[in-house]
Amino acid sequence: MEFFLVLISLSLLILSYHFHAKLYALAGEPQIYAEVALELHQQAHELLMRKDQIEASQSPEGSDENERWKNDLAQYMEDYEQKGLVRRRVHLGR
Amino acid sequence: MQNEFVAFMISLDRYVFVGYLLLLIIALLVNKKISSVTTAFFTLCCWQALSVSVSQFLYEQASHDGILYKFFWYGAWTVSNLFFIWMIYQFHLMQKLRATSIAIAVSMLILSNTAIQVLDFIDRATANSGLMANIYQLFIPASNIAIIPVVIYLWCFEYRKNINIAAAGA
Repeated sequence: MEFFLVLISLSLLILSYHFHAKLYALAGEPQIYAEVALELHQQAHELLMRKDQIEASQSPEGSDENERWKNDLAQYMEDYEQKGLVRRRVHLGR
Repeated sequence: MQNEFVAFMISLDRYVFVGYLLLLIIALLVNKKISSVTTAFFTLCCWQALSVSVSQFLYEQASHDGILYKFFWYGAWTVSNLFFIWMIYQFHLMQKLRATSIAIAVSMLILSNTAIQVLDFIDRATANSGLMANIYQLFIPASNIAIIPVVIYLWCFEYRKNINIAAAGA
């Protein structure tokens, strides 16, 4: 009898800790978003490097390279917008 | 001496509720919206109001002999604490709020009270050594009083942090 009562109260304690931990998880910025931000930053850096190279070379095939660069930039902007929307949904309020 | 001190702390319980209510009113006046701080203070008020209104009835039940009556006392507190921790979490989830350190402190207070209840019940149900009885008697009113300055400090801290963020953003 006592054993079951102790078991019930311990499980209730664990359940309360579970909700506390969930609340705690709402406090910080999730790790995944930090990783996504880092990845986007690296992509932007790479695009800037390529732009510099294109401007420096000025060779006849430069226009073709430039076109590809613009496509990549558009793709990057789209990614940024999508991920920004997700982030904003999580960070709503304060 | 110690019993007088304990009696004095327990008698402070009704004033503690007034303090929580004042905190809630100030938070509503300052924030002017549902935020993490107001939900935390609201939960604190509800928690204290429930414990004040129910404790007399629970005490009458617990004064009977038998482990089931004892469990009624401890289990009721544990369940109500669990409900209020869930309530803070659910408010944050529904309103998509980011949990501040104040909400976490309040949740931590309720969680530690639950832990003390459970430990004391385990002591009562098994060894019955009365080892936890003093801690139980002292910790709960003391923590209920101590949460007020802690929460005010954390609130000032958050306020300063927000001002710094706003200054850096502008």
